[in-house]
Amino acid sequence: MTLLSLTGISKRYGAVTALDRATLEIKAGTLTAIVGASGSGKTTLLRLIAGFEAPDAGRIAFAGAEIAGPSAFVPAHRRAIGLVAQEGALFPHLSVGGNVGFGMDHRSPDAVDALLDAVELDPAIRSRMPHELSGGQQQRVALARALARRPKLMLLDEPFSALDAGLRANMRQMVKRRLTEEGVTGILVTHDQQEALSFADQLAVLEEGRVVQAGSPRELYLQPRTEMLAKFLGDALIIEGIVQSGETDTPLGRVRVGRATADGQVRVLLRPEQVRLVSWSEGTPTAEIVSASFEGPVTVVTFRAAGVQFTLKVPSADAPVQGRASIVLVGTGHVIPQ
Amino acid sequence: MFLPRALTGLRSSMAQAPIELERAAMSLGRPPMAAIWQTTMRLAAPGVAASVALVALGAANELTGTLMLAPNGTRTLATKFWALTSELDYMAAAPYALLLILLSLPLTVLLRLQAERALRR
Repeated sequence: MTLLSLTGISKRYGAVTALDRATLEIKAGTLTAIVGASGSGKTTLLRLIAGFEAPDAGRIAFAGAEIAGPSAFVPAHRRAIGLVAQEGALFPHLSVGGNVGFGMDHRSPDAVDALLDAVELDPAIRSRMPHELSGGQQQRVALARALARRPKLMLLDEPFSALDAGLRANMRQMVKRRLTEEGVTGILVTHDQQEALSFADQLAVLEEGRVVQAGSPRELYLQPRTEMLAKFLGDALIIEGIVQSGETDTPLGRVRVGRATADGQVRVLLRPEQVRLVSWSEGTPTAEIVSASFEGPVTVVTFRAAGVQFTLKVPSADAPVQGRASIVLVGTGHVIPQ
Repeated sequence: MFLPRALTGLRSSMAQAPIELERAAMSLGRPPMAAIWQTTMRLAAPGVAASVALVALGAANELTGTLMLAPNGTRTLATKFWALTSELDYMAAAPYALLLILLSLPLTVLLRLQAERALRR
């Protein structure tokens, strides 16, 4: 069931177009990550969904009713949409308990404690003030505060960006667990593609105010619609090749591509983990190693194959450092549409 | 005349409250006016109080402004004190001076306490 649908949303600030006919559907109970470079319109999109601003064109429907569009505008406080802002945005003049209880219709210490417990905080923290908490604790309190209103949809605006790496992964898992268990649909806005890939059921990529592609993380990672998208979601090898009945000849050797691909010149995407460099044997595609630079777990190997230079991160354990190696390709390549 | 004094305090305290707080309050079910009242205004309150105190102190001690602008016959502590000291009647002026000090004292102490609290943060 679709919980939220955005249809042809546009928003301009003066001469700047923040959103340009963006369209997106979000199913109830799922987690969606919206990714994009800064300035791609993702924060604007979140503000429109939250109801802090109205779109110039298009409509937003939430739980079967239009909440923004030509015929209606429901203000933020009547939308039942929760929000966790970038740095928590806790009310500095209220204690943790006061913050969590802020949105409750019937405030009770037990309910506050239960929520603090749900976000894995010690309820004894209740009487502390926000500036006495660490960044991670503040974010947990912000989540508890937003959950207190039992929203159907939770908006997460880069909530992990201020945390250090280890804590970030931890928080991400906690938030994911919490939302899934409470049955709350989640939208995470982030510029960190790794975070997006590991958090979401659905990934939507924004580019210059448009949703360029939306789908499962696996689909977007392996079958991106554009070259830019391919590079945005991770390291990518994009190679020229010539298709002949479902197989492509490339400088790296022969790659299988989808059967439906028409014969001719194409550009094929391979992820670095699909390319293996093994000890050389006669009659295989050959990589002439140009340089290898050791970086701990991985070694960055630059090599030449059929006259074209490539750079690849290879697990250090069996990385070739000089001479030549054979190239083995794993899985299928993805032909990037022209 | 006391507007700049009032504005410095007000401005800095309003600027301390980020708009995210208002938005958070709205997403927690507060209508816009209530959200502003409970976040930005609430956080600006100490600044407002400080501004009021500064203006009150200034107004109580003001002499030249009062002499120039007040209608004839207006008497304030400051004008009275000034009038008496210029007649070299220090004995008669002393109670007015004392009253001025006493009146300013609570607000001065209050401002000092607030400044210390702000420093500790």
